[in-house]
Amino acid sequence: MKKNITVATLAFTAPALIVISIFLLYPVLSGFYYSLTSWNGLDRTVEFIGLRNYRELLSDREVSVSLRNTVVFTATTTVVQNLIALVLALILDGRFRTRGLVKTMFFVPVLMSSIVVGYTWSFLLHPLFGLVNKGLSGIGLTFLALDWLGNPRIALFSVAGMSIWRWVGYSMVIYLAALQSVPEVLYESADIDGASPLRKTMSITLPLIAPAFTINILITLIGAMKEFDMIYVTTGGGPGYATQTLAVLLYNQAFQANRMGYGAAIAVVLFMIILTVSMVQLRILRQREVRL
Amino acid sequence: MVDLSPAPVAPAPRATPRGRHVAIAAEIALLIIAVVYFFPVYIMLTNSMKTPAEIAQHPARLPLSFVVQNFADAWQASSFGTAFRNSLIVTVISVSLLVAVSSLASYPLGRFQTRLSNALYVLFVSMLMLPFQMAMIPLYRMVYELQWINTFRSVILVFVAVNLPFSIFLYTGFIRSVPEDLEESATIEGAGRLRIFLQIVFPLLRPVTSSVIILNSLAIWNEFLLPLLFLQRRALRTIPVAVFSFQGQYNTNWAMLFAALVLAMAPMVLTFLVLQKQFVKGITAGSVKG
Repeated sequence: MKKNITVATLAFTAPALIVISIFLLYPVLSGFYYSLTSWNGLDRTVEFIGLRNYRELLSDREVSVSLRNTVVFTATTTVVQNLIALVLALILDGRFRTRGLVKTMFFVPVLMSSIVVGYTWSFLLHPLFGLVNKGLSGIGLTFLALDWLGNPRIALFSVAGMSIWRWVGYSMVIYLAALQSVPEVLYESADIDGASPLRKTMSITLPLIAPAFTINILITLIGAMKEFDMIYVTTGGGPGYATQTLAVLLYNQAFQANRMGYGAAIAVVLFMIILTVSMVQLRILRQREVRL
Repeated sequence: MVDLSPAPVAPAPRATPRGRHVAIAAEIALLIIAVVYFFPVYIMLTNSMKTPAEIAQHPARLPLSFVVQNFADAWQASSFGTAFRNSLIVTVISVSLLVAVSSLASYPLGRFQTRLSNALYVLFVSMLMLPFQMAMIPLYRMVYELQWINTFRSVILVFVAVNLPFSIFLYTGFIRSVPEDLEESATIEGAGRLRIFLQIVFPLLRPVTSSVIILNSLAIWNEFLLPLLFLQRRALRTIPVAVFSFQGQYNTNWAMLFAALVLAMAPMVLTFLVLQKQFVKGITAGSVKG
């Protein structure tokens, strides 16, 4: 019987194991190897150069700028997206006649590709004929009518804003589902004790939806650290290097400059960062979860 | 998911007249915010129907007439018909394979409490953390050496591999919550494991199968980087890549570009409007239980 189970386990998982080994695990592992080579993407032969790529990484200004941009982009999107989504979900959790409509309106951007979102926002944010600046000038806030994607000091935040706009609905739906699974009884007994709405939110709602925090923050963190599409199609990493993140730098080095080995080293760094951040985040947030 | 909409009988203590005013004010405020939030979608839709001159003069107004020509031009210039077909082929085959391979793999992982099945589960789930970028360069070489550049199978197999860990995670969690009784009686009758899986277990997994289909379709349909790398020939482009190269050529003609963007988002949005409930359930399925 035991042997029977072992055979069944292996047989059922075999297709998944084969596909994953060939098309994910093996490439990831050989990524470490390529990071120790100077392969240019064209040659048949791959030259091993030891840690030279990593030494170059440490002194490469572009890398440190991209690393900083990745951190700023990730922190901004994670915090702002989750805050907005949580507030929206808290409001929508009440008795709402138009809940379905509002939910749909916030969810539609989730369905669009980065290309669609990026181009539409490029139109809206155009410094001269863009509607955002026209609107701001119209209500007397001309000093706020900036060159959103062309000014190196704010371009990164503009792109982060587009990404947040695209994904808020996704986080909101997850928070809302968590809120709706909080037993009504808890609120009723809190009402009997005369608890204020704020107190109820802080002491009942937020602790009980902690698993939704864990998953939402993890999804936004990982997604933001890997984000490529939105940045590539709107600013291409510019102006200068103002919006170049590690993911964009990696693409440019590997596929534009044909420095696959160096690109692989950047990928290793990005992977290590994602792994560390997710582990730390999971540890911290899991501890705070309350189980019913 | 449990539906906890308030019971109709018990009146909530906070439904005082003042409380109701606050609730109505909150509802109106949120509606206004939603309208502002939706504004970019409105701009895309309305401007796709205008002439370039009208966009320049009145970008925010409702269109004076419906310029169907924008859509016809965009359709032609971006070879949208071909791109749509390519996206459909890649998405449908990838998602079908994902459903088959991941449900099959998850069955022993969710059912047996052996050291082997636990180890395999941990192996699969730990691959959730692997970013595609880490595999990208070696994959590019592999696909290039196999002469698989410009073939659908390269993109499809990578899509399956990259999305398998999450699909297995969803399926395994669900299978653990399905009672074993039905399978046991089938075992007594001497049915083989594969037959039990196909005839008894798989139909029971319908809710999670629809989550797996929706989440993966959304991700694969909109994916840009992978087809950009592997499907370079014009005849093989998927929608995001077609719109991207279209923009490079016609970036001053916003009327046509907006028409192309509307075409690009339409299939997913229409599917969503039909299957709204399943979408929301699909997204929350893997997360709330955590």
